Amino acid sequence: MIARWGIRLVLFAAVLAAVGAIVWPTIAVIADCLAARETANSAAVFTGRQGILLLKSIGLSAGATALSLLLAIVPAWGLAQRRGTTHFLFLFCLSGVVLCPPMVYVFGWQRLLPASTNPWAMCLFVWAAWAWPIASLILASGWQACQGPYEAALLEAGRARAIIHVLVPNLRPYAGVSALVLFVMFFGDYGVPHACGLIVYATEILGWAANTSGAMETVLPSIPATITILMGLAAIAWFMLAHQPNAAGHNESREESFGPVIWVALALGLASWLVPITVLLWHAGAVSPFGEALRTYAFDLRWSFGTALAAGFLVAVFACSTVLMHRTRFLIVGWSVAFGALPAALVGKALVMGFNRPEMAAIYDHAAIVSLGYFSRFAWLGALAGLVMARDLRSESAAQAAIDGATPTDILRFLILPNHRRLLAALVFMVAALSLGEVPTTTLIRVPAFAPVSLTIIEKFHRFEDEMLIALSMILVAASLPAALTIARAWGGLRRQALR
Amino acid sequence: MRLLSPFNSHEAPQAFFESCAYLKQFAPSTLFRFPLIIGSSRRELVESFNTRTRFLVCTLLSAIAFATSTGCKKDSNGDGAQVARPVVYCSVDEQFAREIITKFEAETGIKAEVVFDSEAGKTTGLVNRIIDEGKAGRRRADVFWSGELFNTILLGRQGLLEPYKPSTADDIPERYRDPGHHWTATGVRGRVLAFDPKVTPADQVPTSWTDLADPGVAGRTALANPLFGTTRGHVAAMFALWGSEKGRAFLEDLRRYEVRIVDGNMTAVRNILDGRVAFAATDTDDVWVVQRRGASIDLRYLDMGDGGTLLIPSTTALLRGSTNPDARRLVDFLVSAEVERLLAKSAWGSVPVRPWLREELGMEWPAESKVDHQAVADSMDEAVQAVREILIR
Repeated sequence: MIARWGIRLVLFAAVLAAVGAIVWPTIAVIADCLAARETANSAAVFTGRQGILLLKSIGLSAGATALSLLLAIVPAWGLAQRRGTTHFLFLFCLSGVVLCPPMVYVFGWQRLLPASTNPWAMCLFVWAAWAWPIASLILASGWQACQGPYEAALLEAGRARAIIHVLVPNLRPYAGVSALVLFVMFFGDYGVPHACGLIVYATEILGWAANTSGAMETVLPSIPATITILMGLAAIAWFMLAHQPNAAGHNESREESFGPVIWVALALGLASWLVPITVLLWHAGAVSPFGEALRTYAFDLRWSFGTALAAGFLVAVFACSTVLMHRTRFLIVGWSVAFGALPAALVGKALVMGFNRPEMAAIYDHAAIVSLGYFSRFAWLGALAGLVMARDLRSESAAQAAIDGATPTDILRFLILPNHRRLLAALVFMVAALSLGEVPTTTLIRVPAFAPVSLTIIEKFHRFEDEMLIALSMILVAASLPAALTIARAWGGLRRQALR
Repeated sequence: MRLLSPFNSHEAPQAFFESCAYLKQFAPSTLFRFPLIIGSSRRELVESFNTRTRFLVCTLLSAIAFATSTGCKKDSNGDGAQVARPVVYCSVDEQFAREIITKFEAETGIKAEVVFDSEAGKTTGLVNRIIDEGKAGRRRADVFWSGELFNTILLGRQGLLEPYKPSTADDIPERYRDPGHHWTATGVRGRVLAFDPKVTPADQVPTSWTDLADPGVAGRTALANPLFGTTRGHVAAMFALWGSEKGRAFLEDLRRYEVRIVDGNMTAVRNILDGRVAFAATDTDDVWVVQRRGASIDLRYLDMGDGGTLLIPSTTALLRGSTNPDARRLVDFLVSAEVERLLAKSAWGSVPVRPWLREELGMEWPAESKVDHQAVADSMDEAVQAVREILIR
């Protein structure tokens, strides 16, 4: 009884956080825009320059998404098939790549590639080299789900026909989800394009948001992008609904010999991860900057990790709470996805409009606003995870449990949570990693209590403080290792005998 | 509404238990069941909870401890009374400002909390934050320590600054002090044109800012977005000195000849190092920093049209409504000769406004434009509007 109420309380807190971080800021921004519509600056409307930047950003994000998906295919195949030590190492490698903020990799690649490298190509490459593991993981789950029909098709047709007629149609929704997740992340990213010396749409909107008072002058230039992105999301959602996978069951992956596939995938993972990090370490030169960074920024690092992890937990709990929603699930999921698709600077501005009030000072002046900001930015990941988990509510086990008297909370606690704890662990770390590299929202809502590490790193980059930049970057890399290990153990099913 | 803020992290759980015990007196049995159980003895808690529930409670308590451990921090003063830490909004670069704030803390024992600016917003970002907070009827910061002057003047005009005469500013020339004591200015940086002497011989470097509008120069020049930072004040100074018509024509030429707009002074300098442009309009400190790292880069003070370049001082101001005595001590410290000397010796490289200090440090005062600071502030809105209509569109 106590546990049930405890769970409900925690879930309620997550819903409250969603209302505070998503619903309330939306209302505040709309109210502010309505109040200021008479006095809005005429120059704030969408300009030709912003149109060009929007097109460039969409093209850049789409290109990086396509390249990530391309890079993800072979590793996804390997992931779907293998078990054991190689699989564990591969997963460790994948998690290591993703759990480190992408701007860290820019600094590594910049020191390796010639200075004359085209900045657009550099940005596209760094994004793709960072994000392909995400697409791999999603595609691999799709690959596993349709393995049964694929093998059945192999009995009657050749490999090529089986791939074209069974594998590809079944993988399309998973590719759609991958594309959606990657595109939204790339489009909202500020750090990588900025470090590459590019002005993209996110840069422009952050400039407007930081340099204008009130929300109107940030909202107006954001409208075309928001409409474009939401239309894209709607198109992907429609496509996914129209192409539901045929494979019903989840197949346990089997030990198969795929020869060079897993080694190619492992090499790709190691190249994406170790090459830029090794280059950074090589350029670090001395150990002393690491000590200095820890001494100078210990407090800020602690709080940066704390707020990012808190946001990760909040998103994970939010994912669980969406499972228990019935009629409101699609509303709150849709709202959070739409909020995630907004330019990140607009999200920050909305939070400022919502909480910069005397009665909200306890939150606005507090580090909690930073966690709430991260939650606003990445709640959509929790919402998507919630949709995946909610499918279990329709399972036979859930129906049987309900007949036996289990409440939805019990089903969540005893059935769904144990099944998806790996997903939730990955979600917590993923959101924390994204939060640690988040710049636009953080810029607008930073509090006096601490300096977020993402902003400190950007500042070090600007001031050519290479030693400190590398030291802080390596601290982020080091911090991501235990998380990568946890995910690899949880997902890789590391068996003791495999290690012996 | 600072109910949570007085607690430090180690006090938070205890405070929460005490709150629960207090609520126990009034609680209806079901509504407060969960907190009541938390308020029970530790032994009862351990016995009654299974592992998963304990995990939940721990998570909840951690969240609460987190929630009560920061915010407006308070320290004890000499009398044992709780005093809130002064909060500084700072647009002086972090690497220099952090060192100075640490020195202040070491000398006085007063802890200060600082919000630094970011490349995206620079000073303008913090100024808008102050304005937004002022509009909302509240104040978070006590002190505004800015890397430039003109936005500080505008804040003063909006009634967002508290008059305060620092005890350490008597030897600062009047040009660098507000007659109403709303702000005090110290060490100046110059607006300069940076170039790589290995790539561009000195005789090919422009000598006046109007030369930038030349077809052969504009296309090879990087300029930080003039809506933000010191570039914003620089364009406003051009409007103040040249008049609206010439100012707009200058911007139109820059656009016509495709000046490269980047998102910060440092990015402009980086463009020179990467070989993408030949010139960058920037501040002196951005060049000093890169020079100290051994890069091939030099600068030239360009003529604004009246025989001198624009010099932009840093300013320190107390924000309206701040009653924190420690904030006043911090203002005194920040405008002191000691800090001006530290900044002059650092890579920030500002030139002290105190003549005796310049003499002591052997620093020369660059030829300064005679443009009136108040006139620059007057021109700010018009210049920004023109930039939006002509250059950033």
